[in-house]
Amino acid sequence: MSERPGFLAWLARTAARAIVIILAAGAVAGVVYLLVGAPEAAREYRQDEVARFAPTLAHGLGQLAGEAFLLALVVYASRRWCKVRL
Amino acid sequence: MSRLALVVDVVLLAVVLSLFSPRATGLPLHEWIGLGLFGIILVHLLLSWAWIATSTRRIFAPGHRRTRINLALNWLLFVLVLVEVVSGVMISRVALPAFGVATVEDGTWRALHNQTLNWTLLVLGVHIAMNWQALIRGVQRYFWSGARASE
Repeated sequence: MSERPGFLAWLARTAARAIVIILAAGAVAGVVYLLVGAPEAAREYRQDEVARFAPTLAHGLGQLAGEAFLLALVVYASRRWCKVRL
Repeated sequence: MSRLALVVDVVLLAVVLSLFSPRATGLPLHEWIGLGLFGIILVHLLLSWAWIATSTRRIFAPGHRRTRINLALNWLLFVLVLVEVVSGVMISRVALPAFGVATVEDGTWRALHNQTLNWTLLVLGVHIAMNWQALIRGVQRYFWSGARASE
């Protein structure tokens, strides 16, 4: 029972921090929405994206490996050539 | 870095890589994982709160150039990921309609979703590079040394 106030304080602190993050996220989302505007039928993109991205083993693994390689390349280049570090 | 923070980071990386590869997951799973991404990022940020608070306090203090650059980079990544999530929600074809929300597949939001992806990958790579030492130390401390000790 003695740990309860500590837990409640931790919970309140975590909730307050989560609210700050959610508010920041809401502000960013609001600005983007104001800039781009609501989706409009006049700008509709007509392609079946569900069919286009129907998963296949070869395509899927190829894309996953490619993206992982690109990310690894950026990390490597940042550290090795751009000397990015804390 | 705590063990929980390291596990969350590894899960986050795996989730982001799967989101970068919709041909591996298919569009429905891509959208559901994308909706869940914000929750994982929230946990990631909460676990990094001490660093965020300290860095924000130091932002105008002299002699903290690297801290300022890192904080700006993290903010940029936060904004980019949010743009990805928001634009993904706007052009959702599976997840939002499943909740009964009708969506319009807007070409502008789609272009924003696709183009932001490239910048997100770039900034994410720099973010990982910047925190590389902490990641490696965490892996060595919690996984590598533990695995060697149990041999």
